[in-house]
Amino acid sequence: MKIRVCDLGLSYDGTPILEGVHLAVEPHQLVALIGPNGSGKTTLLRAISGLLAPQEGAIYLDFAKVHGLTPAQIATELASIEQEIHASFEMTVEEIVSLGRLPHLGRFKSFTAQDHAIVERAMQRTDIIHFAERSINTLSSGERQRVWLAMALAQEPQVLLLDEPTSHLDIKYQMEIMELIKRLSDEGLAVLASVHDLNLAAQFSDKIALIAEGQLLAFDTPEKVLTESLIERAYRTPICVARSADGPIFVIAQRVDHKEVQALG
Amino acid sequence: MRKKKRWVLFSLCCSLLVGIPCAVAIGPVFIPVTETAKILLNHFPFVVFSVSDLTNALIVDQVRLPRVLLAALVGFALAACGTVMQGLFRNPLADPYLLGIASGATAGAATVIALRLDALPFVLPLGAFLGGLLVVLIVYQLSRTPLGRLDNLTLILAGVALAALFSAISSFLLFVANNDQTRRIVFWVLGGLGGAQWTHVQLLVWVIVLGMSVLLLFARDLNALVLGEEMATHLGVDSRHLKKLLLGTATLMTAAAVATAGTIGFIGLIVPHALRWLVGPDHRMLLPVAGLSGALLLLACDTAARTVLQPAELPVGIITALLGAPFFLFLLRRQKQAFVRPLSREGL
Repeated sequence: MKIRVCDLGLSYDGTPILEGVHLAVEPHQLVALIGPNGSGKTTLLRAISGLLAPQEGAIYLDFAKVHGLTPAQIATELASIEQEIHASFEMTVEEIVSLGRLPHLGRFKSFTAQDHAIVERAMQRTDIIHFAERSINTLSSGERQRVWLAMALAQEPQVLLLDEPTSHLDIKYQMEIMELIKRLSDEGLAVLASVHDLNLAAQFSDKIALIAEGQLLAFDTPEKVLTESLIERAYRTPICVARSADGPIFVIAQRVDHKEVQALG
Repeated sequence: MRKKKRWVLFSLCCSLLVGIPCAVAIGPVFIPVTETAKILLNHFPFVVFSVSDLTNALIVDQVRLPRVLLAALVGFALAACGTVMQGLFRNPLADPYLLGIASGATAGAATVIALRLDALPFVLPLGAFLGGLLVVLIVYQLSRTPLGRLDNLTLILAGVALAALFSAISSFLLFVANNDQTRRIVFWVLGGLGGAQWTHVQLLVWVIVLGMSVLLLFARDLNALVLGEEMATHLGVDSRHLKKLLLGTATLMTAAAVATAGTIGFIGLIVPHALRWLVGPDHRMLLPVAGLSGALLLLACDTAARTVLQPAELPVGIITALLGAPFFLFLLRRQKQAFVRPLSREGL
């Protein structure tokens, strides 16, 4: 299943947040969404997941318009994890992962052995099964992020949207989560994840979408998007991009000479 | 774990089945439990026990039984509503009283009495429902953010302000009412089960059966709301629709409870807390278990209210508050970690 975003325009209270955004994510693809704070990444993800209705353009899940579908129909195909999630009451990890089965359960259907098996498999794949009985509020950020991923997997989606899955994580957990996400996309999921760390985006993504001030500046492979000119234009700060001979790209922000910033405008 | 939860449900049912005849037996005239049981069992088809004292039968059937049943039903309704409100608003402080629904319902009932419309059947409960609904609608509108979410802090503050406003309306009506009306309005403001009638019991049974069916059907969706409105939508729940439906249902149940028993606080606040701690946050188990515990608790409080200072009768609200407030503080201490963290994050 693939996502297509066509000429998307969205505004809150008359202020345009996104304008003319075009992009597509295919199965087996991991697309990183990068851009400065407030550039519209979260809004784009929420529009794709059906939470926000676009004023212009449309979003398609294969051939179905997302905004013609009910939340339950969307949730069987598309899983989406918000950036900050708080459980307002004590819940165990397993209880939370089981919520992922919700879109597949009818109002009168109870949890079957198959549902239990799916939940267990999701917990195994994210390596959280050994703390399945623990309360979510006792876990570290990295562990909690794996729980949300397991919940998304329990939905058995074709498409996965993630809003900054690596924020608040140390480098070990960042790598762990990104490896996991990469593995999921290799197995066939279409994944769109907003990422703040440009080097993580460079290391893991198949394609990068760069947005700034609500507009898509570039949508291409990491080599083509992570250039000094594009990144400086988007982030308005001096950047140095280093490319090693065997592939990896490093993006380094440079200390600012104030005159230079004014020149960048 | 699951077995333990079933056991809680089972033991609550049993306690209620034993508690009701015991509560009926206790009173100014002590009627032995065995005789009470006989009188009660006579209501079932094909059961005929001879009852020696017809006065006792009359006391049981017309005075105590409706009151005891009403106490249980009101307790059930309030506890179930408190559970739903806490789940809906993701706020452990939400309950029908804090959000002003009960004050609205009281003001509605007081208005009906002041306008002398309460002789007509069902006008009083209707007035209570409309009063409660009005408060819910105002609170809901005020706390809606541009994106259609509910702001928790505004919600509670608006509820507190509206509770004050509607209490003022009730007090004003009390002030201008004549003696007979005053007596009846005071009854609503203080809360109590002294005016129990079989029609009240019937009304509540219907409202609870209807309300609980709706609540249980959507209990799983309510579970997803623990992670917030956005995540619930991502999990396939139509959050806005769900909120309206459950809020309407809870308002109806609260209004029915207030219309028959006046304002009785704390049940809707402490019972869900204690039970969430005991059986976990799954609303499919939590709702019935909290309801039954609420029934049992109000039954016990009301029995105490009418016997402690015999022959005088304490307003039951005094007992629920005397028990409820310290117990709530105990729970707060106990759940400090689990409880304070999400609260502070929500900005409350």
